[in-house]
Amino acid sequence: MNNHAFILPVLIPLIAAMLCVLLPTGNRAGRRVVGGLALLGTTAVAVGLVLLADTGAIGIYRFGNWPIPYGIIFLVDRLSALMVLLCSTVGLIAFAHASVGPDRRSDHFPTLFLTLVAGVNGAFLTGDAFNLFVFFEILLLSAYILVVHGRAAARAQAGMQYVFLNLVGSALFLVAVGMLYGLTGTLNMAHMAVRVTELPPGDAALLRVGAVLMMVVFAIKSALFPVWSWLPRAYAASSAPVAAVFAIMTKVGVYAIIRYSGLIFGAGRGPVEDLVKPWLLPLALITTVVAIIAAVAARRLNVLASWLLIASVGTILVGPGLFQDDGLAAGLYYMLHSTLAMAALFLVADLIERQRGPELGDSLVPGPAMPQQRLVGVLFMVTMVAVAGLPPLSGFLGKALLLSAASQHPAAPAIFVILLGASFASLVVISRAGSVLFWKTTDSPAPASASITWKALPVSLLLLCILGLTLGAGPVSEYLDRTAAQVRDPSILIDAVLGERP
Amino acid sequence: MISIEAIYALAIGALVAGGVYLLLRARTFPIILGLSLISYAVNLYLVSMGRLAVGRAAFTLPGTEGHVDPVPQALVLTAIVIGFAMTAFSITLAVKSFVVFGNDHIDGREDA
Repeated sequence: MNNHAFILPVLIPLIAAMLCVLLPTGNRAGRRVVGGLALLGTTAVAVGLVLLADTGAIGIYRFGNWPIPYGIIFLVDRLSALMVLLCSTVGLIAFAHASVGPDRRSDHFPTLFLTLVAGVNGAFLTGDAFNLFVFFEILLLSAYILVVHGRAAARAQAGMQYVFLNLVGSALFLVAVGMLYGLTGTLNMAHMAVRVTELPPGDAALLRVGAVLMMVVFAIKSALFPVWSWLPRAYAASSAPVAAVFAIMTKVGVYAIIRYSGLIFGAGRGPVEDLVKPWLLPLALITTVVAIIAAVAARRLNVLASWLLIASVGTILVGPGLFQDDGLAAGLYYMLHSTLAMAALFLVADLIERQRGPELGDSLVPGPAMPQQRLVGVLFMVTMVAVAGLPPLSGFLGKALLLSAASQHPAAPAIFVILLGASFASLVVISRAGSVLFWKTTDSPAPASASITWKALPVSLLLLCILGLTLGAGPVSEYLDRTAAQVRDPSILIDAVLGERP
Repeated sequence: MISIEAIYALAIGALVAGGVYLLLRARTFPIILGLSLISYAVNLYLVSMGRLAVGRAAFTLPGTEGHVDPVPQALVLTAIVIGFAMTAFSITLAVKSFVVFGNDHIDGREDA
């Protein structure tokens, strides 16, 4: 018997998106209510899924009740439930930021936003390689439109590069999926993990090519060095709530890397065993270093935030790159933290932009004092502490967990130097930005701008989530330890998926 | 006698080569054409993943012997539909950028 709750994180946003299309033109309040309620419902379901997954059971939803491996399935384990919860939470808060207060966004913003959330949730839940491609396309198509959404010319240009690059990425993805299907004869991820061990030795080289192509595609999606060039322009040009939810979109790539390197290309998988092992850690470290250097050179707050986002992806992937249970758990903890923190940074940047008026915007040059300087300043400072990974917030705990997991690793010196150096550099970069924005004020009168008191509420909510992550670090990291053990043992998923007959 | 697999592979290779050449032109219209060529190549490639066979039924019927793998055909159908939507969107985007910038360069600047 299928548990229909497993498909709700995709179904609720999709149905709400359709309702938003049906509402009469100009009915923005109605769309905001529908979207908000849908995202609230999705988050509630996600909490339920996490609680369910933590019992250790692997939830399987068979579409049309087709027997495995012929039908498409959804998989709910600890990792995917957690990712859905993270996406829904950030989505809900970013949507609230977009909906509260005055806004000139078009009628279709809620629709696109909801399909984006549906696509991301679907990518986290699916247990089928081709279905993953389909959900990638759903989230990308919504993302394309959201990037170019609005009047600014910069958006059309950044959007074009983003779209064309990702279309090439999608073609690569199809080639990789086709190759893996041609060799293993299955698309079900767990079944594929079994079949790769049974291949004749002559097919090993081809299989490795397919697997590497697959990982390259995921690296593009997570903006890993050297295939990241699309991210900063696209994210810096898109509007704040969109950029905030894009902070989770790179995590789709991260999730796929973790899932595939744990299941199909993981331990005991014959010719593709530990395929990514020699690559992931060096690439993650290089990503962190180069992104931090680029962040130093940023002249606008949004560009700065985009580079810091890439740097945080590098730091997260150090965790799975260690190929240890505690390393993966630490990486996941840091991922929870940094996704919330980066989303908060994009939203705070939007508040600053609104306060400084359209002329100065988010460029890092001195301007008149903001009308609500104190409120924005406090929010910016707390976000800064979170992003730079300073105590007492959870970024510090995440980095400490990562470093303690890495202490026995052969590459420990490099990891220590780079992670600590990156923390320090990002602290310098953000405090420099903060001092320009808040302290180097000119005496010219501040431009008239609408009050942002209500807009500050969703950001505060994000920061409260970070605080919760800090206070609840014990239970959360215990959950993540169990998650890491589950993800890194392919036999658990394989037994759950293939052992069960309808 | 050249085999069907070789002809098929050459056709895919020619499509990808043309597509990559067009992609590097950095003008919106050639890029869209190039992306279309690449997606045709990928679709052909996906079909071949069910192994090329001549004279087999597309699906089993009573009295027929053997059939080709139906899954790649379903995949290609999905990929074609998605590719169609993506092409439509890229054309809209290209038109919008032409209206905004007055040229069809990917950077929005004629000199770049």
